Amino acid sequence: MKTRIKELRARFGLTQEDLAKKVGVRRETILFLERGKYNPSLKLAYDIARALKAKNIEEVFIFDEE
Amino acid sequence: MEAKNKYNWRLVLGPVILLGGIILGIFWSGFPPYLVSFLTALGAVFIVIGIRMMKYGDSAKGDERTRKIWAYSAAYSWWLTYVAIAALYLVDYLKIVELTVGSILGILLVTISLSQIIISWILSRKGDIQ
Repeated sequence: MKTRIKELRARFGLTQEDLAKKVGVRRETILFLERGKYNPSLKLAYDIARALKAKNIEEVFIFDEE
Repeated sequence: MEAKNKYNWRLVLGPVILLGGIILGIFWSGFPPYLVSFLTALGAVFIVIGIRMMKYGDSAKGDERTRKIWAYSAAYSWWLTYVAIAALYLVDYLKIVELTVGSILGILLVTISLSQIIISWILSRKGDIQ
């Protein structure tokens, strides 16, 4: 799954560690999310979208059907 | 930082228990060897947990990704141990090696714990379970 986490994080000047603390996960989880190597739960996706002040989950996570 | 510091007591207590066990084992001839093993193992566990808590704070218990990886590695490890039990049964049945109850228990103990650690390490490097 592709994400815009890195881009949105940079907009708010947040490090991976900051975002991880905000949503209650480890920094490595944010790293794997940014690389598109981890599919988050709906709750985590929602928490990240809210932490990055996105209007909805689709603004942060781009679902790739392939 | 304060949240992480509250776990420091483990880092203090761990070496005390570990060194206590070793010192008692060396200088007190009547001290039971199994207690030396128990105290050193307990001290080592306290140190490892203390370091993890210092590093990760409350998330040391794991987030959703690490919990998922741990659950999958436990399942894979269970299957691997099942195969090991079948192999040990065959080895004993065909009398290839003379096995004692102690050696079988030791092999299974090492298989289940080592396989879980190795599998979870492999899965955590991949990022997710696909």
